[in-house]
Amino acid sequence: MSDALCWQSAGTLAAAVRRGERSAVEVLEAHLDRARAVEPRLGAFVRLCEERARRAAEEIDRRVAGGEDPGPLAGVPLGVKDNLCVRGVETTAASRILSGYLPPYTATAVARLEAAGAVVLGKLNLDEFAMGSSTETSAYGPTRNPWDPERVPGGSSGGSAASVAAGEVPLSLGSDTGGSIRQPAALCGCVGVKPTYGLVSRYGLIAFASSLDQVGPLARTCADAALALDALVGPDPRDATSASPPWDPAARPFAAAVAAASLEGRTLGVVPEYLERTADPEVRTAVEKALGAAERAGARLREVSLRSADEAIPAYQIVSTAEASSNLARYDGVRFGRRCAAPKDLEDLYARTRGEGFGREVKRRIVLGTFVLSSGFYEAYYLRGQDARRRVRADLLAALDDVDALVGPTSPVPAFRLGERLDDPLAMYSVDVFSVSANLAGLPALSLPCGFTAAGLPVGLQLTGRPFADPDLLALGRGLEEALALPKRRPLP
Amino acid sequence: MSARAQILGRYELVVGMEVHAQLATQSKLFCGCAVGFGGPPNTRTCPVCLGHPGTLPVLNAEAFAMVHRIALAFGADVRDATEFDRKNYFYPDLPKGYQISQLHHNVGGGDGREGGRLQLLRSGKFVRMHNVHLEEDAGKLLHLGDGGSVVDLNRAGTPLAEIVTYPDLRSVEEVDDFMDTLTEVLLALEVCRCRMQEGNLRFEASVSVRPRGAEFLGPRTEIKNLNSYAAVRRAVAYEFARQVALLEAGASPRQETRLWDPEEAVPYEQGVPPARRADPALLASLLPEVEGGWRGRTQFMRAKEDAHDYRYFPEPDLPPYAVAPEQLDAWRTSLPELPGARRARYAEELGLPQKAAEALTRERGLAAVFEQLLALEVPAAAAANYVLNPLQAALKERGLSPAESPVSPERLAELHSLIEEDNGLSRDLVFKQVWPRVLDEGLSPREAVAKYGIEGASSDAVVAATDAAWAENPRAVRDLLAGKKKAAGAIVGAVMKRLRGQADPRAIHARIAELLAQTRGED
Ligand SMILES: [Zn+2]
Repeated sequence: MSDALCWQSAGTLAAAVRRGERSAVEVLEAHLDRARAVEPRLGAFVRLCEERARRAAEEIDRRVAGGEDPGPLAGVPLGVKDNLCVRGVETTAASRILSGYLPPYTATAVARLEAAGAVVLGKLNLDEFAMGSSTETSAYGPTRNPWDPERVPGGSSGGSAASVAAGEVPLSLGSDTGGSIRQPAALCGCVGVKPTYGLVSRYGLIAFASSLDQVGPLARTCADAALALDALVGPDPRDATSASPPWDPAARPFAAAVAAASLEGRTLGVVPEYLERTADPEVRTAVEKALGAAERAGARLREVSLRSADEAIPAYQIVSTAEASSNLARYDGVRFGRRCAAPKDLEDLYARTRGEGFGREVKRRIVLGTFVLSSGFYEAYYLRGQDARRRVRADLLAALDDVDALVGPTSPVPAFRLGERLDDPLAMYSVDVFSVSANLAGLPALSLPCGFTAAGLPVGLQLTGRPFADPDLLALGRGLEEALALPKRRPLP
Repeated sequence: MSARAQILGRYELVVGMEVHAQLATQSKLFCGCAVGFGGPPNTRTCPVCLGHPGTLPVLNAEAFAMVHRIALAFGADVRDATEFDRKNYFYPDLPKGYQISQLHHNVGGGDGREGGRLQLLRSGKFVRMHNVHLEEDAGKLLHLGDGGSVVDLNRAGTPLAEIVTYPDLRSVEEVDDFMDTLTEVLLALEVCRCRMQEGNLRFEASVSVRPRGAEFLGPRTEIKNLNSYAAVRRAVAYEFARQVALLEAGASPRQETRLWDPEEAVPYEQGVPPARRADPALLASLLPEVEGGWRGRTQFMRAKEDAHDYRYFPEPDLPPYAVAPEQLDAWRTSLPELPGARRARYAEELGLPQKAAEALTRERGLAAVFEQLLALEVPAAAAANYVLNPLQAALKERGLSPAESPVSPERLAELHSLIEEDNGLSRDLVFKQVWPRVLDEGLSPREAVAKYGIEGASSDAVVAATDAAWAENPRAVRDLLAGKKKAAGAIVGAVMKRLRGQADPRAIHARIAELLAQTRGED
């Protein structure tokens, strides 16, 4: 009974809570039970905030009892990636350097979902400062893939994907700098959306690479992701890079688009460069099967070439590490977070606080980013990286001229084994090969499940759209879900 | 010529200035915290200016407008879109580990663009501006006696206009002229409070020396920690002497950063190898002579090779800020008349003496009162006189600014009418008897006259008294007839004495003229 609640959609749960058929507290307890049951095997959450969640759920129930409507996400349990600030709730970005940090404010994205009625269940694991593709660089240790606990959930939003896939929450927030929402969604078999850059406020998102970072939802269906997006998007006066979309966010365009979804007469651009670079034949087969289903549902497929495909990863490495090296300078032990014991002098304070506080991968990227910005190397690296970024964007926009979306695998491989790539950074970075372009170009992209490998590992399909075509992208995703009609499977019984 | 003048005369001082002006905005550059001075530490702070994880900057439109007004006042080429850069370095007073500044996208000038110029008030010389840009201030790191340090971030995020000149200044006097001129311009623009003691305005001097007549620029030293106008003047004079002393000894100055050490707290040339130290005796002989002996020196801080690599790159948290041409025009046309232009206009068009023109434009707000008097049709010379003499004296006595004056320009104009009208009230009488009541009792001049029944001598009384004085001073009359106009003074004095100072001198002079004409006619 309570377990069944955990597999209901966010839309169904909210509708029941709004009608008073279920209490928000009952929904919350069911999900807490599920979390307690699977967490020892999964490790998706770095902390549950039960008390805070109960107070929020009770408040929602009071409002329903008083005849108020708590909003479209009434009582929906929400998992929040631990790089999004929640006032008074420890937020660490899975780094030792922020251990004990209690933010004095709440991220706009979290605040908007809470204002729509969502109940924050806890904070979710990630690669330290969102730097990684496996959630193995977390100071809390790895999260495991719910479909095979010996494998990674992907990353960096591994906790966000695993928790949703495992039925701990129907909805979570992640952040995506080079694929960090979509790749774990693909590896865990759920839906993950990286909106157009600027569509969702970054205020309160602990920055990794400011010009690439974007907050987005993970859910089990496109409809649930759309429900969250309607609450999330829109300009924020606290984020100067947040954008006003060319449609009215208040009109709930995502729900409308998903409700009217159809593949009939839509054109999908198939990128041969992506299929060629798909290392795993089972991933390629699953994607090709999905394309066939889309065609049968009335979609047209058109081959579109992306000549910039090989430039994306190097451009991403340069831009993201450069920005990260600067963004992470504030962790100096002076004002918040962890400070080394008994520093001798200022130099020692910096060196030991940062030396002890950051993990290997974070240090690797800070050093790389510092290097590419250094006098004498700036032109050869940073400026060339920016040039490549412009080419990738122009190339993608041109490719999107004649199609509604680009389609291909989200990740070249399904979930890999824990530790398999941890000591081989280039192998780790290569799993972002299809996802980084959308970040470089600021375009919306989503991943949705399109099948399973023989070993039962999920495969994700990625759709990339034009700037601000986010609602339409969700509609295409919903159309594909219908066309694919994947059998419902549940991990971690 | 003294030996000092002889040696220094062989060299030319070359100075460029870098100025940080705190903009007089309500709130900080990227958050809503109030801008201010003093107060308990870390009370004007918020998550944004403390650099908390996840926070983002939001540009203050007021600061953006102010820095544009500065650039436009110099006549700089102003960009149609402004972008920000990050300047990366670690220091405890810098919360984010980087400062949001501008390197390649200065609001005005820079990158080969025209930076405009500033005409110095005293010398009339033009100083070319390199660029004007917008950036955030850092907090303050305070070192405690016990070896510990504490940081106050109240100042962190205060908007700063950084103003950089070309090395166009050639003497300490010109440096001083520049500082005064810039201060007046910033005050006229109402963009900076310019209180150096509160750190509103901070100068750094870039000093080099070359043989007189040379075209090249010598290696420059940048001097920091200059917290008063006097400190700048002294530091530049010292640095000139130090570099000349090096050159005289066959050594060469190096590009480095130095700190002004007014109390000579640090031993002479600490951290500098003996071979690169100027001979102290020679250096001392080249310093300006000051009463009580010279004090203060520049102290080595770091060499060029040890300069920071700031790893500038475009600030990704702020989009480019476009400035519409209409906005730019609006800012340009709303620029106030700057002190230099105003001073020239007062002297040339209104015919005021240079001293009066300077005095009117030096203190903020005085010129506004003067302009209002002109608008009320008070002639320029009289208006300048009212503003600079009775009004300014009264304000000084009460410690008020012109804007806080207890006497409105309308009342000053009424005072002028009272003096001009043929009512028997002399100027002296008006200032002795009417003015104090206008000042202290808040009466209008005419109300004061009515309330206290102030009257001058009637014209009949003046005629009678003048006729009597004429008769009693034959020598003065003789002199007058001989064309010695000054002789009238004796008669006027006698009339005044007789009428206890209540007569209008103009009426006396008029009667004397009549008497003169009559006497001549009789001859
Ligand atoms: Zn603040």
